[in-house]
Order: sequence, then C-alpha cells, then structure tokens
Amino acid sequence: MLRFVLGRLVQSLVVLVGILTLTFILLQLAPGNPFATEKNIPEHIVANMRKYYGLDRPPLEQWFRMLGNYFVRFDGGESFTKDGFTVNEIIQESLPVSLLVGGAGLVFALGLGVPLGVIAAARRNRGADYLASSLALAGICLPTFVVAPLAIAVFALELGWFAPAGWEDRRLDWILPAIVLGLFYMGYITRITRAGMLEALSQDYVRTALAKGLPEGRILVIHTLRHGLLPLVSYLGPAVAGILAGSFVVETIFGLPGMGLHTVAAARDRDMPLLMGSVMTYGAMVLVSNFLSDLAQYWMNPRMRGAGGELS
Amino acid sequence: MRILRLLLGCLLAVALSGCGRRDFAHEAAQRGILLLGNGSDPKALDPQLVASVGDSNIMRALFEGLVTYDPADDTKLEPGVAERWESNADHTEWTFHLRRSAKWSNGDPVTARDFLYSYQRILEPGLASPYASMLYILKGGKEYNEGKVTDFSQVGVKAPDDFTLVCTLSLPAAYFPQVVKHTSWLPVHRATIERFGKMTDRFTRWQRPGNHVSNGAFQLKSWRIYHSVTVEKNPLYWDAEKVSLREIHFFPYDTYTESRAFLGNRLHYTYTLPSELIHHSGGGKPEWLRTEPYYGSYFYRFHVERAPFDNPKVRLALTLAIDRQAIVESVTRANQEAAYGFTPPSQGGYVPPRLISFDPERARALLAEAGFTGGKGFPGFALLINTSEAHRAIAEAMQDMWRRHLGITSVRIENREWGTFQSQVIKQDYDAARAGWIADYLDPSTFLDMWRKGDSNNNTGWASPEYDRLLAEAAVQPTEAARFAKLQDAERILLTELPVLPLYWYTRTYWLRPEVKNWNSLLLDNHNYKHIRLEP
Repeated sequence: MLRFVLGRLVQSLVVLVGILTLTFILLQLAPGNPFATEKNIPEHIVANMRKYYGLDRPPLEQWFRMLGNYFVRFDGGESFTKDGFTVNEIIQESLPVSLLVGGAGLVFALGLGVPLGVIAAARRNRGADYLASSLALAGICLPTFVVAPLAIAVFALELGWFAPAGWEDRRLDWILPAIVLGLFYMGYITRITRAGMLEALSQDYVRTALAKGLPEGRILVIHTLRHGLLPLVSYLGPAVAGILAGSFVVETIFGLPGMGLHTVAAARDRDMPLLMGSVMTYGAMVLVSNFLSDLAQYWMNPRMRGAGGELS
Repeated sequence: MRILRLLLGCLLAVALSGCGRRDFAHEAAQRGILLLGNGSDPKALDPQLVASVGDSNIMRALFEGLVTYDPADDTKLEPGVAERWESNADHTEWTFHLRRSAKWSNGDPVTARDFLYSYQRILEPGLASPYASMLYILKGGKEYNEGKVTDFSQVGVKAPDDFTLVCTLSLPAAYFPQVVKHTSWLPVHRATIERFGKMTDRFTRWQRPGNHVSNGAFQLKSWRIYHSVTVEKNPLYWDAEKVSLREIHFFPYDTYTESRAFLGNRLHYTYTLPSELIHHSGGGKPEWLRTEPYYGSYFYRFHVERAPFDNPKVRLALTLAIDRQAIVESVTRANQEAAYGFTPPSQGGYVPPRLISFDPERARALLAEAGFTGGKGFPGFALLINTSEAHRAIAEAMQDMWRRHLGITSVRIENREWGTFQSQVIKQDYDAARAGWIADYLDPSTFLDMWRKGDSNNNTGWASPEYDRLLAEAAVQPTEAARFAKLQDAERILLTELPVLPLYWYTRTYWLRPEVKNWNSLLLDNHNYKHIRLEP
C-alpha cells in the first residue's frame, strides 16, 4: 500500500511537470502579449515591460525558472495583469469561493443524483424511471448559461430569495449558483448510477438473494449499492476536480470572485504566472481526486483486493 | 398528486410573499452609498499604471489633478488642485497656481513637487507605464521616456516653488488644460510610493487598503479582485464639505450580470446595457434608461499598401456602398449615430466635414473606374474582427451591402481573439480591420493626430505630407476657431483618401436609478463624483 501511494506521488509530480511544460509551450506559441491594450503602446515600453517580467530571457531559462517557482519555492510569482498581486494571493482569495460553490454543488448533485439513479434502476422502464431519466437528461442538456439566468429570474428577481449577483460573506447567496452548477453533474450522476445499478442488479448473487426471499430494499441497499456505485466513483475522480476548480460560466453570470474567472482571464490575457498557477491548482486537484477515487474503488471492490492488491 | 398540489400551493404562497423583498439600492442611498457597475476588474489602483476606462473611473474618485471635470459640461474646466492657470501667447508654456489648502489623505500638503515627481515617475522608462505617451506633449517627455534623455530637469516641467507648476510643451496646445484632466496626469504621494519600493517598482503594496494615500474627494477602503473596490469620503479633502456621498462601491460585473443585479435592486447604475434591454424593457422601467452621445468612433482600417486597397477609388467605393443608417438602426440598435465624418461632433466645439454618405450609384461608378465593373474580378479579402457577436453582425451587414450594391462576393470575415487581433493590426497583417477609438480628452486632435505618418496608432500604411502639414499648422493657430478650421481641412483629406472607413459614433446606454442626482450627460463620460448626490 505504501509503495502504491509513493509510486502515485512520483507519477503525479511527473504529470504536473508535464502539464506545466505543455501549458508553457502553448503560451509561447500563442500570438499576442499580456500588455496589449486598445491603445497601441510604443515598442520601447513593451520592451521595458517584457524586461520587467523576465520575458526577454530565453524560453528555456523562463521554463526552468517557472518550474523552480512551483516545485522549489512554492511561489507562483507575480501576476502580469493583476498589478501588485501574487499568484499565491489571487488563488488564496478566489479558490475558497470556488470550493464552497463547487462543494455545495457536488453535495447537491450527489444527494439528488444517486437516489434518482437508484430509483430509476429499481423501477426500470416504469414511471419513476422515466421521470428520473428525464430529469437527468434535462440536467445534462440544458446549458448552464440558460439555466443560470432562468434560475436568477425566478429565485432572485421574482421571489427575492437570493441575490441576483455578487458575493457577500456570511450570506447564503452561494446556494443558487451551487444548485445551478450541481444540476449538470446531477444529470450525469443519475445516469451513471442507474447504469451501474442495473448492471449490479443483473448479477447472479442478486438473483440468489431474490430467490431466497430477501426484501427488495435490503438487496438494493446492502447487496448491490456498493457494487453499483463503482462506475460513479471512477467518474467522480476527474469530475470532482472539475466542479471544485470553479466554473467560468457560473462565476461570470453570478458575479462571483472565483477561480474559474482567473483561469479564463489569464489564458486570454497571456498572464503566464497566473495561468500556470491555475493550471497547477487544477492539475493537482485532478490528481488528488483521481487518487482518492482509486482508493475508494479499492475499498469498495473486493475483487480488486482479492487480486493481490495491485491497482491499475 | 395531493403532495404535488401542496407543493405548488407552498410555492405560490412564497412567490406572493416574496413581493415585499428588500430594496438594497434604496437602503444604500439612504446611507449615502453609491453602487456602480464598472464593467471590468481594476488592473491597478495606481494612476500611472492603469489603462482602461473602468480603472480611470476609480482613479477619478481617489485622485484629483490640476484641472478636473465639470459635472455638466465636458468643454468646461473645473479647478482641481490648481486654483487658476495661464499660458503664454502661443500656448507653449502653461503656469498652474496650486491651492494651499489641498491635502493628501494622510494630512500632507499637496505641492507642485508631488506633480513633478508624478510626471517623472510616469515618464520613467523603467516604470513602463502604458499611458506615458500622454505626457509626450511635455517638451522632452518623449525623449526621457525613450531613455534618450536621462536628466529629468531637461523635461518641460518645473516647480519654481511649492505652489507653482510650469509646463513647457513640445508643441503649441490651446487645449492643454483639457489634456491634464486625464488619469495619466494625476499626482501620487512620493513618501507612500517609496515606503514600499523604488519609484519605478510596479509591484508594491502601496496600492492596498491601509497603505493607499490619495488626494481626491475619496480614499480607498477595500479592494477585492473580481468582487469590488470600495472608496469612502476623504475627510481631509480640501473641498470635503461639498462632497455629499459617503462611499462608492465599484463592481466589476459582466454586462448581463450587472443588469440583473440592477433589477434585483443591488446597483444604482449599470456600466452599460445589452441592446435587448434597450428595446424590450425586460423588467426595466423607462425612467431608468439613459442614452447619451459618447466621444468615440467605430470604424475599419484599410491596409492601403495592399491591393486593391492601394487604390483610393476602391476605398471610396467601398465606403459609399455602406448604409450606415441601416447599420445603426437594425444591427447595433443602441441609438448610435451614423458617422458622416471621422471625429465625432461635439456641441459648441469641433464639427467634422460632412463627406461620408450612402451613395451606391457613385460607388458602382467608382468601382468600374477602378477596373471592377459590377464587382467582377474583385480580389478576395478579409474583414478582420476580434471575436464578438456584435462585431460579427456589423461585418456581416457590410459584407451583404457590398454584395448587393457593388456585386462584390469575395469578402470573408475572420475573427481572432483579442490578443491575436491586436498584434495582427499592429503588424499590419490584415486587409481591413475593425477598430474603435474612444477619446482620452475632449479635443479633435485625439482623433486626428493618430493618422500622421508613423504614428504608433496609424497602422494603415497611409501617410500624407499635406495632412501632417495641416495638423502642424493647426497647432499654432491663435484662436480655437482658426485651429478647428485647419483641423477640418485635415479631416477633409482623411475623408477623401479614406485609409479608414467610418461607421458610427458611439453612444452610451445604461440604467440609472432616480435616487442619483446631478449625474449628467457627458461626452467623455468622466463623472466627477464630488458633485453626485443621492436623494432616496
């Protein structure tokens, strides 16, 4: 087990270096520069700025320095476009917002998606299944940029339950964006849970249990749920990172000061340090959450443990 | 079924009870807090490093320059830190007399040396200020900024004593007091800057709440990225008793987000308004809507060194075949004014010659003269736009008009995201590219100077010695009328040779709550918050 964890750690570091390097190369290839404004800035001023930020150094040197920043000094450096803020500060300020909205969204998506999926599987091809599957499909098909303004129109502007935009500490306005963000994931979770449960319900041991006369609810919860949720757990690996890292669309529409905005703005403005910081954060979250998902599968699936504890 | 009915009943009850919800903007107005949508997140709170319109709105609350903005009339000059000013006969030397009562928010007096320091700082090559070129009007300013002169005493700005500032200009400029209203001419507090680093350090913590020192009617209270900037009344401001607002909150919301925030009673003012909401109220009230002319021009650049745009007849034909009225009425739909020249007209000021019109017949004749009868054989070319639905819709309308009126079917539309677009225009790697120009100060020279040969904003390859000569002559005219006449002559050349295809003049459309008083229509949209009142 320790070997597995250590192996995974080394692997993750290699992957992170790879991601950062790839982002770095893409940024080098992208046209435009972080100092472009509506007005054409004289050549020598752009040259001054490039010098100030070390962009006049050879790419290889820039690349080494960037890796050093992240893996030795644990400091992303200063943002090119958010004057006076370091990447660390920006992430410290914005990540909690995305984590709260994303975390609540995830709880909502799981809390609704898993029961819906289980019910749909248990009542396959009956009314409840159709209802649950339609809800899931609606969650997947309706884009956030449609759902969010509608939700705001109804729950914020008509009913006045939440703020239509903005982020005030100690208020519950994050609930609405969390639900909107969660709806999409809820749809997938429902469908994956349903498929996983159907597969589990077709197993021999379920038929045996049924033949022995065990009550249906008990079979569902005690015997099949753990098996049926395996595909969901592997889906959650990347999905959890995605939902927690912040959504550009949701943050823009609700006017939230989250990470998603920074990631997109940094890519648009060629703000290399900030983009590297965002990519690094997101990459680390994907790796951690994939790792946790693997551990969960290991714990949930006795067949994996039986085979000598090797994890794929 | 019974549960469903119960649920619906509950929803309905809550919906009805929701009508008595809070009006946050009204409550804020009662407390003297102005809530503004500001369009974008500030890059910096340092007047010598900001470049965007939204940022300069915040700067105007925090800092005060020598001359400042009149609340109702752009052409007027309101004394700021300078009580009065005068110039020599040919407008090349200006003397500003500073008031002795002006103070920084930490209690230090505002002196001519502060201005001297600030102008040196913005011109320091090491600071790499994006707006340094605004100070090239000072004699030697350009050379200092380019590093050709390293002794700042050679630059045309002096402080003979603490309350006198003398500016010597590189060219005669009767409009100089209009120029010094701009953000780039605001002063900064030397001791504060140098407490956190060198004069030329861009990344210091002086701009943070608690450290920030300013001399305007307001001082910094808080700054959170993508959240808001809050300023509060500066009790040490020399004219503090005239300042009515207690706080201003600037929000960086996106266009649609801010209109929803406004509808939810969380803002007093939206930075802009989506055109859908201009025509379909969408819950808005007619008394909120404001539509005002704005000192900006929307146009296309032609790359005149590239065939077929090297032929002035082709450029004129393409220009005459565009029905600008149709574009503003059915495409942009925000009450813009169809441009008949390049420089937008200003009331009581400069009016451009009326040379641009919609004349498809003449356009066809010109195109035939250029050798493309009925559009036959016209080479394919691209309209370059930065990615945006609005720009695309205008480009499509032009594409269609050229097809219908001239028979040209070979027009493509190429969209690039902003950074790429910008670098393609600067490198002149385009056929025709969209552009927008918003004035920095109220004078036609801000629209006309950029078409001089070699100007860094020209980017068309066009140059005319005659045009450059007229601009130079205009600068030395003794009266404004004579100067404007010369500028009109110059613009006549621009509009005959047409390195640009003017389309429309901007308007500003936004929502404003009735509690906000003394918020007037201004061509530059630079409101002086000192005069704004809230009457709930």
